[in-house]
Amino acid sequence: MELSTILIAAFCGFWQVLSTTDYGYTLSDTLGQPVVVGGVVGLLMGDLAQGLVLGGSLELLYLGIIYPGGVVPACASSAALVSIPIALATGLDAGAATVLAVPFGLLGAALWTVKGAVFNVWTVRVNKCLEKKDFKGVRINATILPLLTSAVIFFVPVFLCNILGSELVLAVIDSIPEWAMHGIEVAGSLLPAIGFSIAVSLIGKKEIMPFFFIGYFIVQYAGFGAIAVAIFGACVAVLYYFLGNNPTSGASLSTGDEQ
Amino acid sequence: MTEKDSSKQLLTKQDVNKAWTKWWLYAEVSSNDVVFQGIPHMLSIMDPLRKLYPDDEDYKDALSRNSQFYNTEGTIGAVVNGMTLSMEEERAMGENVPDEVIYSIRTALMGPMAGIGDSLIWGTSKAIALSIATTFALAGNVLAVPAALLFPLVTYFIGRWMYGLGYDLGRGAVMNMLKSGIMDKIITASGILGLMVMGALSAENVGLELMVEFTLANTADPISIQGMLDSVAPGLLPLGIIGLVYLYLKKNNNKYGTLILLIIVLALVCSFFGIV
Repeated sequence: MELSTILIAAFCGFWQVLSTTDYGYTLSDTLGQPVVVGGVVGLLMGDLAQGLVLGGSLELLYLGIIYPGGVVPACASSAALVSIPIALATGLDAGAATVLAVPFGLLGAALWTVKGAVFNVWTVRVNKCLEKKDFKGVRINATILPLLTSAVIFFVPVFLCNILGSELVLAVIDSIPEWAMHGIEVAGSLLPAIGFSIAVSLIGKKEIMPFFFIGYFIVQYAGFGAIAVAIFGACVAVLYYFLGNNPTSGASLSTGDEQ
Repeated sequence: MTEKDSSKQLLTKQDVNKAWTKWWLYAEVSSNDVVFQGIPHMLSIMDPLRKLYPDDEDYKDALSRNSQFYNTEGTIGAVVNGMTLSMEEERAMGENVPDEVIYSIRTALMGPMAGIGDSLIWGTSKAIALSIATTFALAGNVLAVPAALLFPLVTYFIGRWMYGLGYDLGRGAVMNMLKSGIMDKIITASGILGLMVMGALSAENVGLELMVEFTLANTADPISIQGMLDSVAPGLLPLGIIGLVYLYLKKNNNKYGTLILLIIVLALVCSFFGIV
């Protein structure tokens, strides 16, 4: 095994720790997003552009995923930090890399469940320290110790998958027949539908659904890119805010699950 | 409730901002399955509480009062944290604010705020920032990284503002916000932007082409189904797939583990028979 493989694996493990300890509420999550991972790992492995392309393709699957009530349905950073370095090392294309990433995303979600369960220990200890008026102990059990626990839970699996990954993946890819590779690529271009559907259902207001179709067919007919549509969309949103009627002027406590 | 008389305040603006930053850093760090964000909330206001309660026994009671079950969305929900801090301050200054009032107001408001925050911050703002980042990334453009980082940057300052708002206006703040309907308008406006971007990205990135062709007896050229579909409107097939996925997810409460497997298996089978 080459030293560079080990170093890259260690870096990916470290980046996984940054993006799963949740230190920095919205920052930590963003660091683990496939687009960011793609940029960072691509730069490290000397192919920034391809890293970004791989990250972007994977992001399409994960961008709509949120964690309602703290439950993590799939871990984007685990998926990205295993599949992107392996794809860069083996030359796997973006569609196949996305399919490869899926099981690692689910594996990562299992780690979050472990984390939630283990962390009850720290709550118990915080309460014990409180009883004893050991305020320093309260702080330690609410900061450093949980951070270190996350680090251990998340570093090891990503590190090991990276170490074992490349050769295993290469061996498997060589034995896959042509039709199956094509099938995997087709699946790769269908899976983003999941991310978009979740994002759409979270926005969740039926009466503004036509805007989805407007965005869709602007691209299909006129060939404009998503950035152009974002500009039009921002204008429409501002117009609505200042000119539109208020749909529900009363208190709306159920905004989040209004379907 | 009117704005607080500043001459009677024990905490400075700096104390409040520091508490927000600590909350932003730790909101999910030590959360768990039982009291969720109770411990992070307590941790974030340890310093201001010490200032309010110099006596160890009072301080201890305040800490355990604030470490009870709490679960909200950290950015929009920060208004509730700020409000709690403001009630603790009133209490420390001798106002009659019983434990139950602090606890029940916090518990009553964390749910609605979580609903708004999940939808506005995590559902819409994050999706918009990441969509734009993805468009750059797919073109191999390094602007993808700063575009993604806009999300934490903007939400940090939104949260800081919400925290301060909760603190300044006290327990009336959230009620006023919900009643005014402004929140609802912001959610709808950003939903419009979010949906248009999602539509555009779906068009760019979800793809499916049928390879099946028919040859009729009286025509020379084979008729391709894909060609027929395209003559109606471009991109109908991927749109249909998105519709099916959407309905499946709605029915199954956004659980998609099985769906991923189903799509992969179907794609493999269709590829084997040369349909796609």
